[in-house]
Amino acid sequence: MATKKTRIKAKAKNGIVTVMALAKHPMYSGAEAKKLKVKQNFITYLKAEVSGKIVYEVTSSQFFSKNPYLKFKYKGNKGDEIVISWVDLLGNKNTSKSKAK
Amino acid sequence: MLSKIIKSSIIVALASTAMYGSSFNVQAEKDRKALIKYFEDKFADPDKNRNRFFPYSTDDELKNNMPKNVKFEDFAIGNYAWSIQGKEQYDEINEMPPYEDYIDIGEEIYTSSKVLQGCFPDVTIGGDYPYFSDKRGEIVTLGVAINECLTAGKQKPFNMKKGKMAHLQAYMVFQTREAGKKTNIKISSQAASDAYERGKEYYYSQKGYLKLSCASCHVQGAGARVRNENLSQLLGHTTHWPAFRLKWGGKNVNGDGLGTVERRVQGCIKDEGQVPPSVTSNEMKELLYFMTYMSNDLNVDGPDIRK
Amino acid sequence: MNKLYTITFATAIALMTSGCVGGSGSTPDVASLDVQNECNVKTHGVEGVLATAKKYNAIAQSKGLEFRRLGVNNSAYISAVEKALKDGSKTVQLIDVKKKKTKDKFTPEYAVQRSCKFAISALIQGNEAVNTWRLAVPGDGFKY
Repeated sequence: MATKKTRIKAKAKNGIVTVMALAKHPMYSGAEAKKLKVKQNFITYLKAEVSGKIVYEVTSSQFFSKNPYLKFKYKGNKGDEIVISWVDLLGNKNTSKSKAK
Repeated sequence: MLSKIIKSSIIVALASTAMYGSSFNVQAEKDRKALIKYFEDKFADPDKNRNRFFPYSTDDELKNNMPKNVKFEDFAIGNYAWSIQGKEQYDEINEMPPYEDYIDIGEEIYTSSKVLQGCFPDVTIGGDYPYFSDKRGEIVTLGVAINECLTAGKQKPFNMKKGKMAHLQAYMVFQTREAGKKTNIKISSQAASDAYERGKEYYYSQKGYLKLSCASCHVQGAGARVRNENLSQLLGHTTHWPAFRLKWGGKNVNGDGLGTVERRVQGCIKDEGQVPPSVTSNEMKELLYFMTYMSNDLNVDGPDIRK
Repeated sequence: MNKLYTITFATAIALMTSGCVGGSGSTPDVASLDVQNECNVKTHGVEGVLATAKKYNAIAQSKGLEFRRLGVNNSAYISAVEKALKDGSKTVQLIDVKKKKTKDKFTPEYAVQRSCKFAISALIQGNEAVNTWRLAVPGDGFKY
């Protein structure tokens, strides 16, 4: 199933990169799925990698909001390519990338 | 000799009408300047002037949450202009504004429609609407112009309040913002001036079950608190539409919280306990004409976030 | 000569009626109404008050002054009362603007009195506003 890309903004300053990411997912909890008559589905795992190293990861469930917005920092530099990928309950995947400015 | 005199007096007459042709906006300019002075006076030092302007606000609010000396251009961001806490939240959401995707969707609507491109070859027109059409004798708002374009091109018009209309306007207004344009409403005829005056009278007339006028909350009431929200001011009210309202986003199944100025104004009028005028009625268009003129010279800064 | 009279007469009528459309606030005969009396069900009965409500709400609608209270238009109040009278039921079922039934349980007497007050108050307020609105305009009547 087609998934929507994650919007990523990353700023480097003094050796620290601040990443802001907006993932797109309806995040249907069990109760909401029942009400809307759709399959329950939400992101179960999301990670951010730079040069193959994980700089941020989250195991999530129904508590995570619709179109979750994440903000985190890691030690890095301008020009780093940040790759954010996630997988959801039904097995859909998405990978998006952006460079730190 | 006589024909020469006649010719030159005609030229002088034409020249002076051209120079003073915009004398139809004399009253509107007075109103606008008086409004700016009122708000700058009101928000210069809320704590010191509490008895004059904020008799119902608390000490804590006035001393700790309201900055001093809010000036003209500041007012465009609504009540975040003078609420420190509100501004913090506003800045945080603006790190990743939820309306960004819709600008792209709006661009797609525009670039895939030869009809729209034909009507609007230059999309940086967000600051020029609404305008008074002397030919038609009525106000034309951006929404009306877009829908008339679609209908003339044998396409289905959009809902005036949300969805594709809001997405398309988000693209056009964003381009206007990028081009650095300002609100630039003109009053160039007696009929236009009359329309402005009717809009102004509507704005200041108390109506509805709650007997409120727009001014009750947004002129006299600006800065006061209603439940847990602070009332925003008329100055700068129209610069940032279409707006992404978090409340609308929460209600929408897809999280699409974008709405046009007509959507918001109807919502406000309903809150007064009235049946709101239809989005294409003369009442609504003239009201928007008056309101937008009041924000002349402010930068177009839409789309924007509001709670 | 006759034609001239007809034309002048027609123009006079046209001017008078167009004059009425211009100032949307004023309704001349409303000023002398006593709302409490006009909308009193004991004095005029439900049908009497209903007729009053209908008459004045129609004027309010034409001037864009119709009330909407808690999602229900005044005209919806009126048609709900009419339906209750037709069906002979003891409670009025209000329908809101989203076409849903509301949970209120009003008697026809209460609902008709309310809609009558809404209609007349809208017009009285409209008249007042014509004379008072400038007091709120900075640079005009508003002094601070």
